[in-house]
Amino acid sequence: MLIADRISLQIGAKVLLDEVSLALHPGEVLAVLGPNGAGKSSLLRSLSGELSPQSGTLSLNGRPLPAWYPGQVARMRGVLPQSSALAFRFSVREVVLMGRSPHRKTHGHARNLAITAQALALTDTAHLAERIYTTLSGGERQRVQLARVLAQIWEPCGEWHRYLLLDEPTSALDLAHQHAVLAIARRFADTQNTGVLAILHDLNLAALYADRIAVLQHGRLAAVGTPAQVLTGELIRRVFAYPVSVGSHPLYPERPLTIPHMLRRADTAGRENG
Amino acid sequence: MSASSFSNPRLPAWLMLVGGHRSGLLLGLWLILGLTCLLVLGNGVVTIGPGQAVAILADGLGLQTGWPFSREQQIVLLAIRAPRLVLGLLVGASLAISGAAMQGLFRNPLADPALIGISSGAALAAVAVIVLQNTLFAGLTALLGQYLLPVAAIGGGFAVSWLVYRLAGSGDRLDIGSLLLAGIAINALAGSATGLLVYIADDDQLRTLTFWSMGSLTGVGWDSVLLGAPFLALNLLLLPLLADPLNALLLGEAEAGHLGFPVERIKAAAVALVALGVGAAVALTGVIGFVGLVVPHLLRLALGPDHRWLLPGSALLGATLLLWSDYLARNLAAPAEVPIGIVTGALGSPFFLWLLFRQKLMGQ
Repeated sequence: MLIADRISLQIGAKVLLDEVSLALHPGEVLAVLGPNGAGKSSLLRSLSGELSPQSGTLSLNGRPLPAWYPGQVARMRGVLPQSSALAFRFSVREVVLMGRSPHRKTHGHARNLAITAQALALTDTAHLAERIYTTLSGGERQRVQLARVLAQIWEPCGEWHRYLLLDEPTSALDLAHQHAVLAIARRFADTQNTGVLAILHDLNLAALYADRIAVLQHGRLAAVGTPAQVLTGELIRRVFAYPVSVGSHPLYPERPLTIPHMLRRADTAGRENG
Repeated sequence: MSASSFSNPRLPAWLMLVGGHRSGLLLGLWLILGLTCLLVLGNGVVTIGPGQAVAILADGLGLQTGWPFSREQQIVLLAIRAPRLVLGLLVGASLAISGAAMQGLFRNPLADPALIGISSGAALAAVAVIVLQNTLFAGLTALLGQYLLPVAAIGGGFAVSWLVYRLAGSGDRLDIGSLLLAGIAINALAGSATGLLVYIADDDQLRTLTFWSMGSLTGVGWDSVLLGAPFLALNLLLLPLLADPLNALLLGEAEAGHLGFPVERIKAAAVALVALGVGAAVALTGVIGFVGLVVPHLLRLALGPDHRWLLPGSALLGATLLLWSDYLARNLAAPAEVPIGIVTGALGSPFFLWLLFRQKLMGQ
């Protein structure tokens, strides 16, 4: 498991995370929801080791996170950033191949190239392989970065479970690719027993693909549980401060379907004053 | 990396003739460098043909080629031209590979060690040593002897690299604007401090300073080569080992960390090695600008940004470019010599402007 135990994070006077406890289990898709500034990215960046919480502990596969070597962690955990700073003219294949750098000592180049090709195919980017990364659209870049992270944790890592942390993996994608990306996450969880944590903004996307949903508000965990347990009209109205109706999906009745109401002018004025 | 698995779309058609892939290009660079060396060895008041140059070098190794050469040619080549050639090779290679590494570290193709102030930091330290070695630094002079100059220049380069890094690095993204502004500020600061030192220097020191501050390979002997070679060799041998992490750093620092690279240690190592190379180069030949900017840039067009090819390629082309610049410096106003820094500056600054315009046109 990848566990955050009562972590608190503060930068300056701003409290980003306040005693958050959350465990990511192998084989599950865990969606993290919450309004802007609720601490979703801070939580993910704590789990990824980028930020060090002032209190609380983080552990990976039964050992405190700092006790692992960086190279070991890289073989167990892939992290998809929200956006990438890459401004150099690498080909798409070269970018995805970088995901194999933690395995360069243990795997031959041919094997790493083969995995790269499979990751490209899985993310529907094989046709882009020879393109220059910087010439791609935002959505294409996001899928290529996903391919890179998938290539990184493509194969079992001995006895250790693998984890995937995705920071808004669907933000730049069209409808079909949003679902394709979450289907890939689902498949990695089901067939590879990988634990997937994804920050999402679309409640319905989360409801369809996640085993569990965690909702953050003001740096605290507001709710965690199955989509049906968490996505209630009451909770959404409270956390997101927005009126919705919640029904159930016509095809998958156990999955909740959130339907936002229309915002009227009077409400906008009220919100601006508040 | 099997080069054949990449049909490189960046490669212009005319370069395809040289070699369809990156190893072919590197081979071509070796070849051009070799020919340049022969040309440079033969150029001067005493003419030495390429065959004679090879014969003299072979003779030094105890091999007979049967090619006739005179005693005078032998002395000129071995005592004057060879050390100058070796120093030019090492300095050019070091400056270019340091530029390439710096640009990887800062994730910006405009980060040249001279432009962002590393060279002037090294120069300031070196000037301080030249002017103050018998007064303020007398103790250090006694302790380090002739090594004081390179050590001080390396220290100056290191201090500036670190300062610039702190100034320009806000969070996980380095802002090129602040980077270049930091460079301007530091260049100005170092410039005025150097000016002050020049002002208090005596005539003898002044002659050394003017000559040296514009960059020159004039009058180097084997002693200066031996003095600088260890530092430059360390820079040249160790920087290529950072190719993989530098590639990962181009993705972003956090991403490189997620791929398992010890980012802070890599950054510190890269900065230290660049300061080592640039500091030693400045100590021996003065400030020679733009090599570290022009060379990696040209090579990225041909080889792509992968540091595993870019770093060795930069070393080769940097050495070639510096030898050609030195060749021009010696022949433009013969028999007088133009300082080589003026030549690289004249070649490099239009190139830099062109780069800026191109970036602006491409809207980056």
